[in-house]
Formats: sequence, C-alpha cells, structure tokens
Amino acid sequence: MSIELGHFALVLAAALALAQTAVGFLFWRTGGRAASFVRQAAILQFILVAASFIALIQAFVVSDFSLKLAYGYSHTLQPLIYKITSVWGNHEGSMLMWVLILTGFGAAVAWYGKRLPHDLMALVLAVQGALGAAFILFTIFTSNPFLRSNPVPLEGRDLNPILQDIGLAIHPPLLYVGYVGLSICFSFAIAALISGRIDAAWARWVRPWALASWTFLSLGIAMGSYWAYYELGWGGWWFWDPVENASLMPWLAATALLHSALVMEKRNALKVWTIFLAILSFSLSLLGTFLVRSGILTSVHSFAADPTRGMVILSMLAVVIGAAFALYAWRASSLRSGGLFAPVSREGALIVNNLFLATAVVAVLVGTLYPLLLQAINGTLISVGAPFFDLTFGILITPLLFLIPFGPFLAWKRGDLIGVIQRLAGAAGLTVLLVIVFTIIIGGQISLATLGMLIGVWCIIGAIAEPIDRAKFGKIDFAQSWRRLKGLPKITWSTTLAHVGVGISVLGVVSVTAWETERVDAMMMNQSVELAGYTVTMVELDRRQEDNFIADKVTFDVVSPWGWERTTSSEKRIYTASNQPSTEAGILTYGLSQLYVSLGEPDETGARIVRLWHKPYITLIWYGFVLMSAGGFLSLSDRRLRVGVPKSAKNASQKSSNSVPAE
Amino acid sequence: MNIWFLIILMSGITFVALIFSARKISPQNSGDGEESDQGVLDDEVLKTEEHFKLQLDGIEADLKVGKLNEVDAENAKAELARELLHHRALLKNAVKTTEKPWTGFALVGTSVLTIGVAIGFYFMLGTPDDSILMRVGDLQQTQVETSEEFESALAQVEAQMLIDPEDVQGWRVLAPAYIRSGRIEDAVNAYRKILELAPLTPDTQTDLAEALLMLGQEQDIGEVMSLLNAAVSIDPAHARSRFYLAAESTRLADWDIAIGHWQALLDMGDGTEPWYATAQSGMAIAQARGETPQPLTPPPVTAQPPALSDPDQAALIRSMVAGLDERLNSEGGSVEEWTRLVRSYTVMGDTEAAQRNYDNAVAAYPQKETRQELDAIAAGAGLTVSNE
Repeated sequence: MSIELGHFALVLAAALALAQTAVGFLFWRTGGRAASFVRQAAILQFILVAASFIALIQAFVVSDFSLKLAYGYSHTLQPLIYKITSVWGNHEGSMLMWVLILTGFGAAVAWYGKRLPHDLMALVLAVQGALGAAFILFTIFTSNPFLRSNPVPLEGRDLNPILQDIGLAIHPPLLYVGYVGLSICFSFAIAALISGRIDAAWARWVRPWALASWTFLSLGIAMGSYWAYYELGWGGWWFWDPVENASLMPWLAATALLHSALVMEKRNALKVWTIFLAILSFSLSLLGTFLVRSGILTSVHSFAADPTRGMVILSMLAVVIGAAFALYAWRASSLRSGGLFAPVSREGALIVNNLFLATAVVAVLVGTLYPLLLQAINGTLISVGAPFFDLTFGILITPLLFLIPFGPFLAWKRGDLIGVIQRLAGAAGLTVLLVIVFTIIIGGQISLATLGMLIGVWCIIGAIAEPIDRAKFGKIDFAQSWRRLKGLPKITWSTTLAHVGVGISVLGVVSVTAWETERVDAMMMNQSVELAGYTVTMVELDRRQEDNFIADKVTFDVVSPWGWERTTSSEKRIYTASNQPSTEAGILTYGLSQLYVSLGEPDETGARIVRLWHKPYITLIWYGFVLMSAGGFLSLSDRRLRVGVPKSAKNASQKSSNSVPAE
Repeated sequence: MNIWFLIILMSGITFVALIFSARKISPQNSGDGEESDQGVLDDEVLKTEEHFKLQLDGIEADLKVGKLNEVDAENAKAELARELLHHRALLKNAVKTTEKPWTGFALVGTSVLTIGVAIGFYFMLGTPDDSILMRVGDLQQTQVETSEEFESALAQVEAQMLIDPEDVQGWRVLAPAYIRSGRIEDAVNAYRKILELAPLTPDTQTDLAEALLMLGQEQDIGEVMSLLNAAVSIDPAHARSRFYLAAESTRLADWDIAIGHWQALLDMGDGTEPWYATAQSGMAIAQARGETPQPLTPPPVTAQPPALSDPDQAALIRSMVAGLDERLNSEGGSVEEWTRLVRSYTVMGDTEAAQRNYDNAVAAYPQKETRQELDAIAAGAGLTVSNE
C-alpha cells in the first residue's frame, strides 16, 4: 500500500506544482495572499515528493518486487546500503531524486525567504513551480518509478555492479544539489526580467543559492572523479567523457556567476551579464540532463536509452531555455545599467575571469556537442577526445590561473596595477624560489610541468598573500596585525581558501600528468615487479563467494622506496544475478601519492594480467576541490550572505569597532 | 486501512493547508513570521541602508590602505549616494499591490482543482488495489487444482521473457514453474538458459541434471552424469549432486562408483538428515551388488534429495510426481511414463511408492518384453521385479 500512497503523493505534488505556477504568474502583483499560497504550495510539494521518495526507498529495502523498479535494479541479497542507493541507480529513481531536490530548493526559498518582497517571492516560486511541474509530469508520464510488476517476480535483477559502491550514495546527491540549486538562480533571473526588479539586493538574494550550488557541484564533481578513478579500474581521474563535461560546464558557468554576482552586489554593475549567466548555468544543467537521459550517449551514467524520453527532455529543454532567452532578449535592454568602473579595477578583473570562464564553457560545449551534432546530421562518427580538451581548455584556463591573485588585491572602481604588482612581488619571488628548489630536488629540467607547478604555487601563495597584506604584517605592530587578521570577514577567508584550493588542484593535475608511471605485466604467484621504486609481489590468489558476487581476489605485498611493507588487493568480480563483471582496484596512499593496482584476466599460461600505476601527488586534485568547497561553506556561514537574516543592531555595533570591512 | 481513505485524508490535509495559507492576512498581525507588504518594505529599506553602509566602510578602508586616492574615494562616495537615493525611490514605489476582491475565491478554486486533478491523474495511472498483483512465488506453492490461475501467471512471465530473453531471473522463475506444470522439456530448456546466462555453480548444474532425469530419456544419461560430476568437481561437498550421482550409479549398476558416492554422502551427514536413511539403503544395495539386502532401517516414506535449491522446488518436484502418479493410476499411460514415475520415486528414495507403481505398471503391461527398461530400473533400485 505504501507504494501506491507514494505514487499518489507524487501525483498530488504535480498538481500542486501546476497550481503554484498558475497562482504565482497570475497573482504576483496582488500581494500577500497569493505569495502565501505559493509558499505553502512549495513547502507541501516538497513534503509530498519526500513522502513518495521514502515510499520508494521502503519498497527497495524490503525487496518488494511488485514495484517494477525494485525488480529491475535490486536484489534480496544486496547489503542494505546498496538497496537504498539502488533507488537512484536508475533513470526513474534518479529523476525522482532530481525532483526531490528541486522541490527541496523551492521549499527552502519559501521557508527562508519570508522577508523577500511578495512580488518577487511569488514570481520566483512560480518559475520554480513550472520547473517542478515539468519534471514531475515527465517523471510520471515517461519515467514513472511507481509502475507495478504483474506477476510479481520472486527475485530482482540486481543493480549494475559498477554502481554497487558507496560512491553512489554520495556522488549523485551532491551533484544533483549542485545542478538543481542553479534552478533557484534561474528562477530569480526570470523573476527579475518579468518584474524589472534587479539591483544589488537581487544579487544579495541570489548569491547564497549560487554559492551553495557551486559548492555542492564542486564536491559532486570531485567525488565523481574519485569514484571513477577507483571503481572503473582504468586509473584515470578525468576522461573528458560527455557526461563529465556535462557537469563541468555548469560548474564553470556557476563559477562565473558567483564572481559576476559579487560585482553586482558590490557595485550594482554587470546586471545583464549576471542574469545571462544565471540562465546559462541552469540551461547547461538541463543540457547535462538531456545528454545523460536521452540515450544518445553510452556511458555508465546513461540510464535511459529510450528515444521517447530523449525527445520529451529535448522539448522541455527547448521550451525552458528558449523561453528564458526570449524573455532575456525582450527585457534585458530595459534593465538600468549600473556603476561605472575603470578597466583596471576589481570589477575589471572579475570581468576577465568571466571572459575566460565563459570561453572555456564554449570550448567544452563545442567539443562535447560537435560529434553528436555531426552524427545526427550526416551519420559521421568522430571522436573529440582528451587532446582537444587538454589543449583548448589548458590554453584558456592558464591565463586565468595566472591572474587569480591579482583580483583580490585590486580596488573596486579603479585599481592601481603598479601598486598591486609591488604588493604581490614578494609572493611572486617566493613562488619562483619554491619552484626552482622543487625542480632541483626532483632533478628535473625546465619544462611545461615546471610552468604548471609555477602557476599552481603562484595561485596558492598569491591567495595567502591577500589576507596577510590586509592584516599589514610587517607594516604595523605584529599584535595589531594579528588582531586585524582575526578580524577579517569570512568572505575574505573563503576567497583565500577557494583560490588556494584551485592552486592545490592544479599542482595535483600537473604532477600526475607529468610524472605518472605505469606498467602492465602478466604476473605469476610470488613474482615481483618494480615501479617507481616500489616492489610489488603477487602473494595470494583467493576465490571468494559473497552473497551477490563471486570474486577472484589477488593480494599483493608492496615495499615502498623507503622500505615500508604494506599489502593491497585487487578483485575481479562476477555479480551472479546479472552475470556482469567488475574490477576493484587496490590503492595504497603514500602521503599525497598513490600506488594503483588493477587486476586483469588470466592469460593462456595462467598468469594474471596486472596493471600498475604510480601517481605522484594525485590526491592534491581532490583535496583542492575539498578546499574550494570548504571556502564555499565558510562563505555561506557568513551572516551577510544569508537571505532574510539582517545583522542584529547590537552585534553590528559591537563588531564594527574591531572588524576589517569586506571588500 | 483502505487506500482510498488514506488518499482522501492526504488530499484533505493538503486542501486545508492551502486554504489556511490563502486566508486574509492582517497587516498588523500576520502571524508565523509572515510579513505584511509594509513589513517587507520596511525590512528591505533597513537591509539596503545596511548594505550601503558596508559599501561606504569599504571605500573608507580602501582610502586608508591607499587602494583609492582622495579624488576616487570622493567620486565613489558620490556614486554610492546616487545609488542609495535611486534605491530608496525604487522601494518607495515598489510594493503597491492591489488585491482583487475575488483573489480568495480564485485561490480556493485552485485548491479544489488541484485535488481534483491529482485524484484524476492517480485514477488514470495508479494501481490502488494491489491485491490483483499475482505473486509467482505464492502461485508456485498452491496446489495443482489452481492450475488455471497458475498457467495464466506462467503465461505472463513467458510474455515477459519474450521481451527480454536474457533475463536470467525470469528463467529462474520459469524453470521450476514448468516442472510444476509438468512441462519438463520446457524446464530443461529453461535450466539450459540459466546455465548459459548465469555463472556456473553446482546448483545450476544439478538443477539441469535433475530436470533431465525427470524427462527420463535414456540418451540424456551421459549428459546428466557429466553435469553431476562437474558439480561435484566444483564442490565435492555438494550433497544434492552427490545424491543423484549415487542413485544413478546404483541404477546403472556401477557398484564401485555408487559405493564411493554413497559413502561420501554418508560422511557428509550426521544421521539427522531426511535423506540419510535412503543413502544407507543405497549403500547396502550397492555393497550387495544389486542383491536385495536386509534393510538397515525402514525405508523413509518421504525421503528426498538433499538440499534442493530451495524448498519450493522440492515441493514442486514432489507435486509433479504425485500428479503423474494420480494420472497414470486413474487414466493409465504409456510404459515410458510408468518408467519415469518409478524412476522418480527411486530417485526420491520412496521405494514403497516405487514398488507399488512398479506392480501397477506390470499389471498394465504384463508382457515382459515391453517393459525391459522398467524392469532394469526396478532391479537397479532394489525393487522386487516380476519374472512374468
């Protein structure tokens, strides 16, 4: 019965979303009652979708195969955690999760936005309702997770083995929060275009949502990258797969949006561009959804190979994006332009940032869509792979990385470039010194890798230099500087953390690209091989039977260059219900580097094919993203960024005496 | 609790919550933190002033650290002042909303429509009465008398398999269901598909061997033995395959091999297993080289092969054999069918039923030359064979 109640709850949520849309658009000028109605509808909608999601989880947990979805993607012998994650390890369930997060964001705006002007609230929630209605109706009519199975099978068909991993519990929810959170920025942008109300306050309302989405999207992408790295057994951390690109594009656009919203909040400038970015970011999220679910791609992400669904999503995409940009074209010219500024200024630096990021989005978009369009038009199959993306993306991002430390040092309105260069000279000197020392230590020569290291270290030291400069270390008494440092606003620290994170990721990418080593061997028992000073010996082969899979598990002893002995194992599994294979890599972490062992098939002599990689400093890639996200969370915790939370007069007066103003 | 009651309850709560939200809000006391239009306006003015104050502090700070010179700072302040004035003017005219007298009715109407649309959609898409769903597992355990319902369920699963013939779980459901409905050849095919699609395990190999034994074709014996031997070679402690190997070796008069399998089986048991007594009898027969030995223990009435893949499957086999027994004894049948029945009882270890049916078969086919295979099986299983 709970399945049917869940089904009804979803249908009721769809009807509520329609009502919310209609009332929001028709009555947005009429004041409090309509706004109150759409708020209530948004909150109820979320509660109902949550109830239907819980009903779905319950059916999976108790292995109720009268639910077709549970039959298709679950198995009685699955551990509980995978029974739960199987709910979104398929197209229908993941759509419901998408809808849950979408309505969750709508409810959050309704709940926390009590102090938003009623007209804006009604319009934002109307747009959010329209998106909710479109996605819930799409779910119900083309991807209904509550369809029943008759007759009821005795056993389920199990989940794709690659997805039977803790990564499925973390990566999709984080990514969806990022993707769907951008819908709020989109809704605010549409509301602004309709009402003509766009100013610094608008940017202040939008920025927390953009920041939250960007933060979760960063974590989701990093988690997805690490999951692919350890689960697929290919040893790579980024493949420029269209589905990966589909998450990278909104992230780049959201990064640009964050920065342009900052300009808008502080200087009331870049209004039209910020609105454009808000629409673009969510449009790219929708494009990602289309790529993943239309069936035009073959990937572990491509749950759906149903052209009907693809056509429906394409139509939704066309309507939502088309309508948004049409409205933009119609109304953008009527928006009042903001404050003026000199080219060399903080605003100018942020525009350069936006320029590079937007161009990078276009480069990735072209590389991703061109092969698909060509195939659709004349059937020609071409592949745009890593060399294209490495080159174009690298060329576009390198100057941006170089310019990162300059931005925070420049003043708003009109900056003094010579002065900034002088203030950054120390950081530049230290960067060059560190890279020279590092290059000498590793006995390397000047190369592209050295340049990459230089840029990574420059980002880190340049970012750290900013709070040190603002605290005036070396210019005033140390104790006073320390007090100033402690008094810096959270947004300064969050900027520093995020920029340091970028530098750290760059260091990881550069070192693993330049210095990774690999070997492939057919290994017999007790045979040893050497890689990058590590000695790897195959010591044990064991066939083990778990509830839902049979595995050949090979254990290796590893002796590091420093003589430390450790053990790791890699498995080749066959999942019995689906008869699908999967590889579990063995990964040993040494400081920031990793040794990666992947077991292959046996050859005709009985030896096992083993691939070994040494990946120097690879973990920096993900640590960098974690730092960036930490910066995002820190910024979110700043009261100044929270919608509807005005600083209390008492605190404000107490703090103002000690604090350093936000820039 | 009736599902429609819960659906109406859910709809009712939603309706009331919507209506409650659409009630008229007093500007003086809006309750639950809800702001009146004027309240929102005041708050917005407050926040805006605070925002511009922070901007001003920023300019002062930039001036102090030398990021801005005096002239630029003055210009920035002037621009800020213009922005503030513009913003105040904007806010003054911002929320001049006029509520239409019929807004309340429209909101109530929308709420009613919402509930109506939801119930309509659900009526179209839902399965409110899920008791109509047929559970294959339940049906497999019902008696043969309900075969019409069972066959209908079977047909639905078969239809599913036509859509996805690679669905190993579907074949796992179908194979024992075929046995239950007496479609042994289809069961053999289903078990072959399972072997093809699923990883090779002693259970899947023995399942196919078991179905081939039920089919009773002498030409399949070679395949049966190789399947069972393969199962035992993967898992020497696999009791079910060992049991069949022992029984078939006994029937084929491979006494030494039979003794080895019976012994291995007896070594696995501790005497409490339902098949243990049958294994002891089999061992005695093999050791006596086919001569009817003095029974060590009374032959069990319901002995069965050990650890059938699941209890349902064992029940199905018993049910199928019982169905054949009933049909042959009431309607008669071919000598091959009688042979299959007697073989099934001997494999199941039910020598009493095997002897009774052997005697009935002899009565139906009194000419010895027509029942040579039957007599050979009976002799191999230690039954009293008619010399007439």
